[in-house]
Amino acid sequence: MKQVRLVFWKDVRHLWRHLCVYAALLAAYAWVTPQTWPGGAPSSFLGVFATLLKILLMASQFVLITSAVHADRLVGEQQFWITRPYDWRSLLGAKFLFVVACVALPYVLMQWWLLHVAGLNPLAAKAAMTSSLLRFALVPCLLSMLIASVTDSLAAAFTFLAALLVAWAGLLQFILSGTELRMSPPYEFSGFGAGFGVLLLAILSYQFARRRTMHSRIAIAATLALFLLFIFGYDKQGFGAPVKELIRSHYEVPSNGSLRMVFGPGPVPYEESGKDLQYLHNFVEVKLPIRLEGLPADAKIQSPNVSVVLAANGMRYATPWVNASVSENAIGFPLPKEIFDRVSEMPVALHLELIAEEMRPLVTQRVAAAGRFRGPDDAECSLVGGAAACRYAYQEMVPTHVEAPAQSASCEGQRPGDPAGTWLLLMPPGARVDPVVNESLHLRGPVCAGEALVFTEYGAARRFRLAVDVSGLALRDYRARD
Amino acid sequence: MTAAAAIEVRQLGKTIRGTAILAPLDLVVPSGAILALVGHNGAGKSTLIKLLLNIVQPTGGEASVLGMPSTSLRGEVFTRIGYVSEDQEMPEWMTVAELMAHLRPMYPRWNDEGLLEELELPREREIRHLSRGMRMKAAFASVLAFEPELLMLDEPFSGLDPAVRGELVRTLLDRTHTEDPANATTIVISSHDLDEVESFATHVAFLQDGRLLFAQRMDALLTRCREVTVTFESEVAANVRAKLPEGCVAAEAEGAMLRFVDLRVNVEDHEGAIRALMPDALQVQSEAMNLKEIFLALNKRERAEERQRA
Repeated sequence: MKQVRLVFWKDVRHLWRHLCVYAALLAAYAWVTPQTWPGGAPSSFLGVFATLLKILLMASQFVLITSAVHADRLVGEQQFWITRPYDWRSLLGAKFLFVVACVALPYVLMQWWLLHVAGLNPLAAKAAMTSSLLRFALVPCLLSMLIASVTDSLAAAFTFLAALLVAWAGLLQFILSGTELRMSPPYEFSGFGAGFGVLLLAILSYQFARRRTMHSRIAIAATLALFLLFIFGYDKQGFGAPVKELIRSHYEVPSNGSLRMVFGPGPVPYEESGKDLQYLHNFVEVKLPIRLEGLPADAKIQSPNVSVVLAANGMRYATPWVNASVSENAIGFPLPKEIFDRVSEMPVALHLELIAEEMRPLVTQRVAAAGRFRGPDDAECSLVGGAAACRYAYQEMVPTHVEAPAQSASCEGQRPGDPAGTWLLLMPPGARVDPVVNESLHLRGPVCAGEALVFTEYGAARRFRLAVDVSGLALRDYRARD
Repeated sequence: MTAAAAIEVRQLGKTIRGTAILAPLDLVVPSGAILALVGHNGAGKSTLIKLLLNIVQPTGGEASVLGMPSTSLRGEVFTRIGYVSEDQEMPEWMTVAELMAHLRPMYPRWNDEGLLEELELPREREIRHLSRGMRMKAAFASVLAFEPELLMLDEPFSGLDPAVRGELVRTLLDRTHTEDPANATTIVISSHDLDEVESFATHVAFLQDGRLLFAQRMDALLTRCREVTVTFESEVAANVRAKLPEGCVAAEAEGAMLRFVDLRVNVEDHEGAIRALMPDALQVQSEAMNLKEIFLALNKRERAEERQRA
């Protein structure tokens, strides 16, 4: 521990100028960002400046971490410390301490300050905060340390990082092309995070203990390849049946049979016939007139995915689990254009399985809109110039419907008299620099002060799986409209 | 391992991409000895030191340093081993005093009393602002202070003026070789400054093109190598040169005079032995050589052998 402290303070003394620059960037970001939130003074310059500061912050974090590791660098034969009684565990511990105390802690304090300015309590979102910090620790911190451990200069570290990013993006594009709409299996983040976190830590420890740079570089490349393989094989169901079955096993067939899918011959109503997936090459969207029966009126369907098996003229094709759209009278799913063209003109036997979560309203809260008002789930909401917006700490994971009942109060806006509703976007947890999630409430017109807003939070998710078989289907009739 | 050996090397070698940087070699350095590693640039001196300190990994053989396998040397053991190299990086941003203060807590023993003054080192000057000589002094101070059992010095005097060299050698010997030989520090020093190392080294190892030609006590080497000048009555020197026995190298014949180096002197009356070998000799002169002359003679022999092989 003595040596950890010794090396840590040496690095702090050595890098005090870097630390000052980093602190200045954090302060600037903490000052500028609140002004870019909805309700702040609109300025495109501030938005650009905040983005620039964000990039500079990330770059300075990389420079700080790299410089700290390079202060006792592992690559080379001439370093002062390698013939001194440095214990590699203490050295690694000192570098971790530096990253935690001088990079992560100021960053977290800056985030807390932003939450404080937004009127949010960071401790009220412990899980989201932990998730955000874990992602921050895993991606920028651990990865930067690892890159620094196998390079001998800042220029080399930047080059290594750039090469890694280019290789990563290129391979990802190559491997994952056409898999964008496939659903992710359960435990994806926790499994990947834990697995690859442990692998990266092991490589880092090995490099600190043995200083075998070439071995470590090969291990990093192998980990990258393994990561890509798992993304393709597991996350995108490239491993086929086992992953497909794992996903299926997480959804239960409703026991009482009250919930079912029914194919109703006939066209899909125009307003539900969707849009063709022009943005995805080689895919078309098929919209089938299938409706869910037995679903409570107030239930909400969340994360629907389908797996479809098509059989026609001796040909059989099965899709992986893909994202689907479920509306009142139709279920839509993507199909490769090549397959669609082959079977669209012939009668097809179709087996469709749907998996989804059924969510029910849990809490309904009426809130009077005001300059500042408290929304559900610890949201801090505001009303500025008739535009209502809510803020959440780190994430918004509870599906929430907001409704403005028929307008009673008089205000200058022209919103129609009938009720207007909107869904708040679900914001997954992430390693965002700005932890304040801002959501504007789009209610077809201005909201008046004193007007009641009804927030309905959904929860108690029930996973279900349903199947339907249709024969003699002519798919050409069910292509989503252009 | 030999009980009294600080370093014992068995067939230690290093090959990089098929090229032998250091051919497998055997070497024993007794405790308390001062071994001079001698050889021209690229002979493998630095590589040998780095192999012994686990800075680079061997591709063959093994070595034990202070009783431990060289490949396991890291961390704690460096409280007993000091290393100074001409091209070693230093924490440039630290002052000399900060460097000493940073290192002090890492060692169980630390005695820098009067050391900086003795070496005339400016305490508050940053290392990056020190001259080459001063930097080397700072490096010496940072290892002498913890009184190591083994000191590995890789070209420590390179580029230093004679005054600084002398000062460093004096301080080095004062601090490592006191009256009690049992507590003497074992020193391995690679150097081109043969005159300097001859003055204090007890052993010498000669490396050439990655091969260890020999390693032995300095006094034995100086005894067995002598420069011989023979004068004949007539111009027969060239004929005699062709018949010189093995071990006589760097021979030069000019008219009636033959000059060569005898590397295998094993008799007290060397001149008598030469006379017995060359009965026509009018005058025989056998002179002691210094390390530098031996080094040059050996170099000459190696080059001649290379030419023959070519």
